[in-house]
Amino acid sequence: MRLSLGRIVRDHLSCAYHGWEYAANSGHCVAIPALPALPRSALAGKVCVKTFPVHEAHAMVWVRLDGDATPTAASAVAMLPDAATATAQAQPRFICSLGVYGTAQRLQGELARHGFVQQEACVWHGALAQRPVHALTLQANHGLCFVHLWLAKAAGGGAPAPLFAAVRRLRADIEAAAAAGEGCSA
Amino acid sequence: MLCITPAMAFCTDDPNMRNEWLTVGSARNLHGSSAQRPQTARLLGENLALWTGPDGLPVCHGPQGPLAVRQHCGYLWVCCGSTPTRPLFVLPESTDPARRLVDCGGIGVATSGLRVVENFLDMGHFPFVHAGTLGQLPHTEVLPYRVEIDPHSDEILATGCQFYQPRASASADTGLMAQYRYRVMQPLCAALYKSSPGRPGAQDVIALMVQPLDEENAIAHCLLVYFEDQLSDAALISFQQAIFGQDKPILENQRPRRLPLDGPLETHMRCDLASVTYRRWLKGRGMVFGVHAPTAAAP
Amino acid sequence: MISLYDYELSGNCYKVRLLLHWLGLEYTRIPVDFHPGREHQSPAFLDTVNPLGQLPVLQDGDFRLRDAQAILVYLASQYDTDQYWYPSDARVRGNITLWLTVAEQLNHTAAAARLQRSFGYAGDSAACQQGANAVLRQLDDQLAEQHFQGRHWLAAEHPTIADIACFPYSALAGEAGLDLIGFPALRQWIDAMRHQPGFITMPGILAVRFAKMLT
Repeated sequence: MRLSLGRIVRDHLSCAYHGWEYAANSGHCVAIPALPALPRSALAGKVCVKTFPVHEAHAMVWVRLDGDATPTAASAVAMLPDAATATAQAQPRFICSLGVYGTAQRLQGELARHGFVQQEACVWHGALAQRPVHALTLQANHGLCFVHLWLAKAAGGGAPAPLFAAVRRLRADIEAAAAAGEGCSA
Repeated sequence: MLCITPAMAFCTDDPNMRNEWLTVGSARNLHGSSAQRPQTARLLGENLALWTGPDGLPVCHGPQGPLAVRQHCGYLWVCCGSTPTRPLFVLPESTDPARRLVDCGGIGVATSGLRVVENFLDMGHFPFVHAGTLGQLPHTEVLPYRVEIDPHSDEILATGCQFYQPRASASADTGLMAQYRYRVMQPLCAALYKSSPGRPGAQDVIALMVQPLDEENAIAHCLLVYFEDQLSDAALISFQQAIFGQDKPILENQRPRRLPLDGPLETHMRCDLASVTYRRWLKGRGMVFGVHAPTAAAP
Repeated sequence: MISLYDYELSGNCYKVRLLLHWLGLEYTRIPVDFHPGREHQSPAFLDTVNPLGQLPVLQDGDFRLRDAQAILVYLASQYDTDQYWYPSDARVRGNITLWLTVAEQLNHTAAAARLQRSFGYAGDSAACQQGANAVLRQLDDQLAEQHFQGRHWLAAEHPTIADIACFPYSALAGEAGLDLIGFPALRQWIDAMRHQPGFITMPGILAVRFAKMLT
């Protein structure tokens, strides 16, 4: 049963099916409601779910799936280099997470066509509606990618409408390129 | 590229499915049907044609010709093989004239039919999935009960089950300690017997009959065999479908979709005695349809 | 006295049950055997309740009204003295009506695909799913833009009948064979709805607290 459908109960993650409770950080099962008399010691370490280190920054939750190192503020922020030295007003501002149908390759090809420059593997810098933005691309599953977008600097106004129109235009161009690419494949 | 498709009809050759009576839904679905205008039903990956023949008996044709079909307890049952290994289960309560039979309809669910049956046997989920009706916090304890296999019928029987239920049935208006017993007649058919509010001392029956569309999709049919004459069919069906509607997202989010018969993919405790017995019983029968087969390369 | 011709597993009926609950209104539920009985298509139902053979239908005294979105407008107009669920501001009303129309688009797509998969209704599931994804994307785009401006609801600074109308078939997308993973703003909004004080759920939509879940 997928724990992502669970609930938080007394700071434990509780499975939606039978209410088994798992402690944060350790992932140990600490309660089985069907057996309330079972002491914690009987459970200790026997039932466990895998945990991953997480960090919050820039309106996102970051996770290390390799579990090797706890992501620090510095490493998350390294994705968005301006943030390290920026004042509060000049911090990056989250725009949206764009779900796009297509492969990471098509996506990156279109970003380049829209004038985005690749900083490192998944991190790009460019502009939308004449405002500097950061983009982080990730493949979610077979046909779906995400482009997570931030304004490089929160301050400096401008109505959101042109910005979001530019976001949708970027998405439409990526998906048109993906569709055209599929039409040509053998 | 040359593609060779297998000539086998049906999506499985598991004898547990091929040589078994499988339900395709209510016999009422054949009203107005004929050889020219048959009803269709999906079973084991194939479309079947069903109609009422000139002698009033049901007729069924599969992809390769006629199939044996029976009417039983108000439902249609088809055998997709040569001869069924066992006769159709008996449900004597269904012919008791004092009882009322209510077909709660078939509801599609995107999971292995085996998971639907296993969930039917489970009580531990009542306070979490059916809060306010079949269970309520903090009454979560599953007290020990008995499970045995009947040596003659090879059916699984669970007795002495009890659980606190704030609203055990559509006509219940107070909480009570519901007394249950369960019976598994076939891999895809089970029944539960619970104290009847309409006739104290007697038991109402709820039968679950699962139609396997393929290994990861099924239709769950539910039949009520009740002592009850106050509530409308709509009210009884509403209560039952609400219960199944609450189970549906849980069932559809279990992974793997097919039922694992070998540990340690899922952890069981003694409160899961019926589920554990059911999985062992399926394994003993060599069940492969709807079963999760671990790949050799799995870590 | 208010009565509601109702079906437990109908998202459209649930919209009305949800608003009735939030308005604190008492009513009588009249269960209709939608499946397997198809009672809503019976001659008796067509003649005496709704000639279109659809649910929900509201009866308030001698006033009868069909169509979930219309019923939401009526109940809010008639009973919501705070004008919270259907504010009188022209722009807000214009926006609410827009999202009520989108809710109807969800009926033809996501709800239809769910009827096909759950109740065996005939239809082109693939086309319905494709249409549903387009509508869900509309909702996700709107909500992403709202979130950017610090707002969390479709048409106003607080939930309105626009949110109630679009909620059920968005939340039940899984039963239509759809995956909401590509719609993060929509998923946040679904979560926000489920966390609203006094939220009641319907079978198929998981509640956020392990409490009494059905009225």
